[in-house]
Amino acid sequence: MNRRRYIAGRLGQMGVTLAVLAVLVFYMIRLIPGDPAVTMLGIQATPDAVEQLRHQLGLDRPVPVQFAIFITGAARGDLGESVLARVPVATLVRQRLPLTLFLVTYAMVLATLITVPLGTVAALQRDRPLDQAIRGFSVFWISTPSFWVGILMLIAFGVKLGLFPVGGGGRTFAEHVYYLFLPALTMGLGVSAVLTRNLRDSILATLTAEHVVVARAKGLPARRIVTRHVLRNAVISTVTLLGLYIGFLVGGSVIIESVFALPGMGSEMVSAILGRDYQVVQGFTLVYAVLVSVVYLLTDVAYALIDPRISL
Amino acid sequence: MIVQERAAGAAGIRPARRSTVRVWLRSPSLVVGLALVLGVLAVAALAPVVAPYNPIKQNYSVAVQPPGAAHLLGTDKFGRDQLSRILYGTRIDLAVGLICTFIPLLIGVGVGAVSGYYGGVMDTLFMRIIDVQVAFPFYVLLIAIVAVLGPGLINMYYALILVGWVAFARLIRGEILVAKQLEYALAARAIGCGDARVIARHLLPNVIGPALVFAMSAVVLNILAGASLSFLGLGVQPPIPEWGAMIAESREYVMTAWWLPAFPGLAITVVGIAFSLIGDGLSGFLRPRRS
Repeated sequence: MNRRRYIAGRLGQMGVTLAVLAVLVFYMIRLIPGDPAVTMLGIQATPDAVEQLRHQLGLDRPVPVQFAIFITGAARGDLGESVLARVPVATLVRQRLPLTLFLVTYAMVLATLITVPLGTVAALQRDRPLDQAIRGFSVFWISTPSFWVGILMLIAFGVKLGLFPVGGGGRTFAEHVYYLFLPALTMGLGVSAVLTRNLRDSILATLTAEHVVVARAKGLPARRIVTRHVLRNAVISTVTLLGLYIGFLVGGSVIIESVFALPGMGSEMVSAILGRDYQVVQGFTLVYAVLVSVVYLLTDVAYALIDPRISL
Repeated sequence: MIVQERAAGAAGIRPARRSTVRVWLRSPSLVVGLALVLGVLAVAALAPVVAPYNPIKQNYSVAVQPPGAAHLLGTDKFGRDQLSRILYGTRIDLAVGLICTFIPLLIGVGVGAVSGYYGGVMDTLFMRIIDVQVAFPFYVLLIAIVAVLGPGLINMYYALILVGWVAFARLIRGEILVAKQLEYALAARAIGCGDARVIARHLLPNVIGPALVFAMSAVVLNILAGASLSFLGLGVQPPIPEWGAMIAESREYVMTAWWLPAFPGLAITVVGIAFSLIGDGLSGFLRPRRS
């Protein structure tokens, strides 16, 4: 069973990645120039307070012991305590992760809804004005800072037209869909700019494939050929690319959450850095990395199960 | 015509290769992109000459003025001329884009070539580095590095360079893996070329194309990332005129002074489009050769 071996190998690889990740994130606080406790508390802090924080962070113990404490804690879901908020970092993650996950998923859905029609039209209208226009759309969105687009959308649709709320994420599912539309659209447009070009090229490549030629020779209607024979095959490479862009979307959410003042992980992480709350930064970095690794793993495993060619 | 060419030859100037020019003109993206980049470079070089005001001098008597005759793009909350700040900002943002692409390109080509050519322990180690790095979302990794080093322009450079080289190395490694099996590479080795010569003279010239195309999108990505970090307060610090930081400073005025966020963002977009167009044009040249 090659496939089983592939998945086992992929899991082993993930184990190594996670171990290295843990070491890197562990060293984050320790790599801060100077004494992390002094940096976190500021130079006016009393020696007692510094000593207490050093003790709380475990910095007064040998490094291997520190690492053992860190890793066993992380395994139990204990990521330390926020120095500013005085709550466990794990609690902050629980409060803020759902919104970030919702936002990233929402952005992916919108990106797909934008990409499929645009990519298809661009390919079918190859080198005609519409294709050129869609290409212009891509170049524009690839080159534009998402935080700027976000602010302009806030001004236009939130403030001037009053169509959308200017902050917050809402409570119910329906509210999420409404409140997070502009942020998700901002993120989705950036990704769809890349995906649209990929889908266009992929469709053009598929159009000359043998099975499509056969379908044409059989006299199938053009619409049916595109939807049944071309899109189905062409979309595979675009979906792969979308999977790779999850990491980018998750990272982009840090910025977009800050622009739209959304109570997700990203906005908390930025304020933690500015407030030198390194326990939060460390814990959040680990959560982000594990999250993305798991998504990549699931994507790969799903492919191994679906696509027989992977096991070759 | 012949006389002209002779005259040019006599003056030590090679006559223009007309066919090359014509090929270049076939790609409007490349021409427009190059022209835009040249324009932006000129602005960066001539900022002190063309900027009408001192970009960091405050003048509260003209604070938050809309675009007008005295201040073409308006003024910010400190009464600083926005046009002058944007012109000076070209220097910062362009430098971030170019330097944080060029250094990783060099590192990546070196590591990727050695890793792909020799394989073995080096290669395995390198692949593990890739695995770990792709586990971090791009912006989370950048922000984490800046968190460790501390916010600021120089640390932002370090972060972008530390993160950027991996993509180039991966690209070159993949190309070298394929190219080293091809006949010309085998032939070069068969006639006794050393490893260094095979890599530098035979393989790299053939595989560098995609890396150069990618470098153009990397410039765009780095400019956007630099502006984003500065926007979050983690990159360039005030009062240095940088476009992302300018947008951040404008946030309290977005309801009333649209010109404050609008123009710096437009500047980023124009520079981004310029490099995207060059990349687009270059990739058009690579395609026929590769098929």
